[in-house]
Amino acid sequence: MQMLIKLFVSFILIGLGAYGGGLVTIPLIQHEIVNSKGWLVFDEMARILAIAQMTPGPIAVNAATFTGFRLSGILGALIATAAVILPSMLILVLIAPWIDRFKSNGYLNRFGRGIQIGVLSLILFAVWSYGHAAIKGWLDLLIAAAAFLFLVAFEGKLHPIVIILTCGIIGVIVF
Amino acid sequence: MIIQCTAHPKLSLCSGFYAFGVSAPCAQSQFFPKRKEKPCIKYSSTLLSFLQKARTVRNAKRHSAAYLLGRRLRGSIGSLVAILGTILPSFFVILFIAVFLLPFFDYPKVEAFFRGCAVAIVGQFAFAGLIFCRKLLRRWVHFAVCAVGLIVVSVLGAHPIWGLITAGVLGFWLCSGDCNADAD
Repeated sequence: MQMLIKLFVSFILIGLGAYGGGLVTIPLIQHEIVNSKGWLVFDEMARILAIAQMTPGPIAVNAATFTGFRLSGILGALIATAAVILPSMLILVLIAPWIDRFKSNGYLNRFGRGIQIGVLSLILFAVWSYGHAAIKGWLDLLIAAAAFLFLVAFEGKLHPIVIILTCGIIGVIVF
Repeated sequence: MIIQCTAHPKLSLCSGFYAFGVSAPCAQSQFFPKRKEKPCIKYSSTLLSFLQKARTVRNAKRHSAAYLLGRRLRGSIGSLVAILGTILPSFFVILFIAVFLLPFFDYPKVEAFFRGCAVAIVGQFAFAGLIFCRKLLRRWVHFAVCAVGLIVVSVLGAHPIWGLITAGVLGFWLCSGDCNADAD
């Protein structure tokens, strides 16, 4: 029961901080699940994220389902999934009637601009922290650089799943 | 009542299945069928307005849009079932993987596959960082806000939420000349 409560609180925090999209949730998940609570080791989290990226649905929700199941079975999966989407639902319920008024509010737009730049900070932090743990040698670095260059060359038109699957197959061959 | 409620979440469920980052076109095709079926909502502008509202909240946009559409169509129950419709497909896919494929994860070849995937995600992060840098960092103030957010999470080791809040507060004080927060 205590584990379920901890799972709920952790994924509420991840859901709260998930402003800005799926990739921002990864440093949050890494901080909560691996660094802070120690529920998973990095390699397990990396597998969860790879699966979450390759399956339909947001990364945070998929990661919550997988982590919840891994730690507390189906009940854990249900609670973690509910927790991760609860903040956005609550925010939406609270502000939905006033969204149009908020949009034209200069102060909130300035705050929103700052948050967007904060999202960028988290992504840059994730490049370092996630990359530091995932890249174990020159070969890993080479594959990561190739993935990055392919994404740049195709200007994001190439679906990430294609890149992830290709790198996975390369991994089977070279590692 | 049950029949009325399940009619629309079925559509939401379809959107959930095909939601590899393309939920908006899926929602469009589900709610405005090309054949002679009766559309679920009257105007495509209504759908657009819901999607824009969902973008405003940003976390889990698909679920937020499902909530708004469900509430519009069938009230509270509609919103609840619509959200379930968007969650359940990926929930069951992940559960299937966790139950049936987890035992194979320790095989050396599977481990090597996931190692390659993890490395690819680093490249994906770097690409996302580049795109965000191009869109958001236009003045020295933006660089400063970004640097402070980065220092809070990396040097001070604070929870990433504090990095976001700090950047938000700094943006409030410093980003006075660019209120159009349209990049996302």
